[in-house]
Amino acid sequence: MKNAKVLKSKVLSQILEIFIIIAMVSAVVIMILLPFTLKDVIHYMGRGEIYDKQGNYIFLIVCLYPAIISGTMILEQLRKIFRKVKHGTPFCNTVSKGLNHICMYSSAIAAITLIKFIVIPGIITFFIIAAFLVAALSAFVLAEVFERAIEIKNENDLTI
Amino acid sequence: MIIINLDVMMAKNKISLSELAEKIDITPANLSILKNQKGKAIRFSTLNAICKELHCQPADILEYVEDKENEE
Repeated sequence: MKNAKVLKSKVLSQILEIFIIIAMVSAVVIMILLPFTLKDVIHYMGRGEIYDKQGNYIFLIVCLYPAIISGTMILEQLRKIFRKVKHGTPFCNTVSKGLNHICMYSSAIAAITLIKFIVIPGIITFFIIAAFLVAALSAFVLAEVFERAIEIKNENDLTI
Repeated sequence: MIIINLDVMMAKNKISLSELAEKIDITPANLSILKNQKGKAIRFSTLNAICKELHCQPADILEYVEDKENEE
């Protein structure tokens, strides 16, 4: 059976891929500039006092690096998934494995942010934890759905 | 388990795999999957076309054999 196209517009999938690549490059730039710009950014956000008092800049950097790396890995998995969708083969193991990896990385970000929340509480941090927990759960459920879909597709492909 | 005796019937009718595939309008790759017992299911339309071309009954193509105990 011929693979049906999921995204009708090739332009849309290409725009998504370019957007993800730009986001990945931005993440790398942020990682390089983080130690030099973090203080200014925090002062600009008006949270300088909290961090200056407790001297938590190093702790924040230690928390942010693994979170940014996990975020970049999520983008890489998304890029792989969009590529498969673009080629008309969304029901393959790469996609379900990619979603499982997204679940893992999102959980990691939620855990790191939770540690940060315990040390330095903040309302935005709380929402970040909630968002990444929801993302992790959604990715887990989608991975399960895709695994079942792959099973059904394989069975269908072997129906002559 | 169900055994596909397609190769036997093809030999009786002296017809090649590619020839039969062309006549029943399925790809040789798919017919090969069926012949080599790798298929999961067979459509009635495919069975109908095979029986029509090979001048036989479904029972000539499909055969039930008892599963061995150590096999799944």
